[in-house]
Amino acid sequence: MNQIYLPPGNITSLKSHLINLENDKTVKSILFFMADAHQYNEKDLTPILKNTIKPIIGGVFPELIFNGKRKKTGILLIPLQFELNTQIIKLSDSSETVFEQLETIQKNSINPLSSLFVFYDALSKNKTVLTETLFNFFGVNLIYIGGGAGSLNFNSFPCILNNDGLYENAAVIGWANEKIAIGAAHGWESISSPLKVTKTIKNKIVSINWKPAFEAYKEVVEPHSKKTFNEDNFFEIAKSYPLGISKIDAEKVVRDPFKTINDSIHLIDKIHEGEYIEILNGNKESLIESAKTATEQAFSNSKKTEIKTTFCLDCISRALYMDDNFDMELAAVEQKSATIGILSIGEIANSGESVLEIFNKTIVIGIW
Amino acid sequence: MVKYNLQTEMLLELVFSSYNDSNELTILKKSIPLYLRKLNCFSAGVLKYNNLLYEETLLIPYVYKKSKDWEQVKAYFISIPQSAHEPCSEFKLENTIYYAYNLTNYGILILGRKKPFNINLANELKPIINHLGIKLSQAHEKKQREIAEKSLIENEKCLRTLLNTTAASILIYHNNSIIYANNSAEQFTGYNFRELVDLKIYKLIHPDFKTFCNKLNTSYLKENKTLNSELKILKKDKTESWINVNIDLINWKGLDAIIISAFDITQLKLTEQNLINAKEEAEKSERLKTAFLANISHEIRTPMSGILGFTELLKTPHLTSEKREKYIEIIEKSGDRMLNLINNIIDISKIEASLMLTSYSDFNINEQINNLFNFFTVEAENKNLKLIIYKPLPNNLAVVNTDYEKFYAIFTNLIKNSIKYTEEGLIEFGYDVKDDNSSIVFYVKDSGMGIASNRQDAIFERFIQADIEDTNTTQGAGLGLSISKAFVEMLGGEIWVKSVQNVGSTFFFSLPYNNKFIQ
Repeated sequence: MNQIYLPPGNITSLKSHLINLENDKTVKSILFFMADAHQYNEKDLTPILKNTIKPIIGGVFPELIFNGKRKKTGILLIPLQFELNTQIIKLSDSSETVFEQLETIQKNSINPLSSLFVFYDALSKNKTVLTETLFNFFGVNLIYIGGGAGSLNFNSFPCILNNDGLYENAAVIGWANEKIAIGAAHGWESISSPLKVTKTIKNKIVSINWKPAFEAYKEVVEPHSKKTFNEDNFFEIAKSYPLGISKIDAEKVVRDPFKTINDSIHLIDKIHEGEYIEILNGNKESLIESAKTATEQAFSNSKKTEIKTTFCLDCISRALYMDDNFDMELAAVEQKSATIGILSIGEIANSGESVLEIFNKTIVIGIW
Repeated sequence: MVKYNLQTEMLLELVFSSYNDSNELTILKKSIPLYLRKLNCFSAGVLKYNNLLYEETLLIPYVYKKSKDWEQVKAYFISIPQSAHEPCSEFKLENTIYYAYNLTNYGILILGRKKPFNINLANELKPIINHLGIKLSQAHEKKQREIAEKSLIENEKCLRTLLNTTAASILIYHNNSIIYANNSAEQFTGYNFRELVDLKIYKLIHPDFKTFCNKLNTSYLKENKTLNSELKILKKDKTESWINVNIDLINWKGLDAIIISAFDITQLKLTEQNLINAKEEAEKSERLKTAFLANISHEIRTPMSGILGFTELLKTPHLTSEKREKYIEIIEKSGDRMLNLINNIIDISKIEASLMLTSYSDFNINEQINNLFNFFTVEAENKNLKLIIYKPLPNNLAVVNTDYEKFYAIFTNLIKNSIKYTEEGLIEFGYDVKDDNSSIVFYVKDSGMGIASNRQDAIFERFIQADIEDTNTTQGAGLGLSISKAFVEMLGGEIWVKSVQNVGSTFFFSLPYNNKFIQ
């Protein structure tokens, strides 16, 4: 991979690099990631994207990773030596409509030894439709890798892109007839017994064990953290105490609480009413250990003899939690090759053993 | 904090996943993805048992439909008996394991996993999936019932529309009563629905067809299956109509009833009768013409032979003047006879071609009767017949406006016939004015052989004389009376005869009397 990082403020340079990639016969398609800060506006960017014939997919993410370092601005172009069958999915559509569109465009994408890149608007309210429909169509045998785009300020804007421009409340997928090696881990451990989610409204948990959600959460977290919640410090404490959805015979799916209003807990991604959850906790070491585990998994799954670059899709909330120590997590990834990637709001990866889910606070490593 | 048993809770959630749904597709679409998520399966397929075959009603994921693995898995589970799926059957394929559970009364659910279920879970799933099958089969049956009911309602509506729009009159008959009548039946019979329902069916049937009512019973129809016949009915206004009726058994709202379907064929019957008449007429006409031709040949040949024969005799040398006179007379009479025949043929041709014209003028009938008397006196005396005339009107009132030529031809023909058919006695002719002065009735009365009553109408028909076996007939082609009849009708009158065999005949003809002096 001859990935290119372009600092902001030079759209001519972006244009010329895309022309070069267009002319490079070894390049079949392009991943295009742009950092939220100092991003180019839609008006300037759309003509450049439209000018490129080779399939482009990607989006605007809170941060980028280039050569093992966090990049809060700029653009990362990752040329791929395999072709992507790309498709924009409008998340305002019903699951039936999305399914019909998949039937039309991806009808030949049936090889189980294949991969699917999935980037979606993290603020969309309809992400469950996306994951369920993708799973109902493609199943689990192929490799999924992707994450949620958007900004940490949680304002909605067109953050998904392809050759035709930028889209809001949408997802972009790219099917490759190539098996990518992936590894995923989160490093969070349970500190509670299972709790039943007794009432939810969209991405908000209203009650746990028939008690106000925040009250039930607080009962576990405060004694463990030896800290007391007040009006201002919810995220400060909660970023160390995510929720894990219990699964039979599978890893817990992590969910990230980020605020509380009227004793409800607001999450980045949804938990279905009736699910069992456990409150999780981790520390610097366990998270770094999970980064190592994910990397090792990916390397062990890969059949490549020489790996020059590792693609890392890490949760922005892990970076926020690790703060200055996040470099150590990236260093743990960069054991054998240079690391490039994105810091996302929610991650998609699959172990091939269970249904497709959006993860939070998880690190995903991909090698191709 | 609730007592933790994730597996139990999860199973409970599966049990209640379709608790409130009663639509087969909704249950499938809601339950199966939930089974996938909760049981951590990578695929799920439902095979529905339908007419001894399994049909794939749902498969997740979509791309799996085209995979060889799925074909293999499906083929395996279909090949083994249903009893093998108790509690569940297993099929291992590479690194995966597939489970098939009975969806009771519905089919089987196949779940694909990367890891095997623990034995407890595998067993505990059995009643839950069995129950899902019951739920699905109930939903399926409900749907089928709804379809059947809807279809029934639509059929009922369809039948009602059909009954109310068909031109056929339809009655439903049960237990000797009419229980339903359609619009056409009401319109055709003149009875409204209520009246028909109260009506005994024999009142509708014409007395000539009463036996038909006996056939209106279910036992008769069961033996004879259906019945089709033509009969007459009596409508409410007592008018009669012909109908073609079809009768069959029908299950009408659960009753063993009879359906009577009828079409009005009165017009058809009339047309049919007209056609029969026309056919008979044509046959008769054909017969008469054939006979006429045969007769006419005779009528021409006889005088012609006379003319030629006696002309030849005239050539005999030293012929006496007496004989010559006699021969010439015979030749003359034969010529007259032929001329008369030719004139008649020309007249009848003109009449048939509507080329015969009339020319009206005033003339005195007393005068004409006198002329006729003078004309026929010699002929009558030659046969020793007495001629009598009757002229009741004074000369000033005996003027009529009509076609003189035709009047004269009619009268001449009638008198000639009378002389021809009368061997002794008298011949009287004249006229009488009707009481209302509207017409004058002329007559010719003789004491001749008379005409048989069954022939009195026929004699005015064309060529009839040739057709009848009349040994008394002497001469003639049978055209005279038909020409006279045609002339009388052209002049606005009528012709008829009164006759008694061996007593005599009187021929009458009327003409309008429009004498201006009468007023």
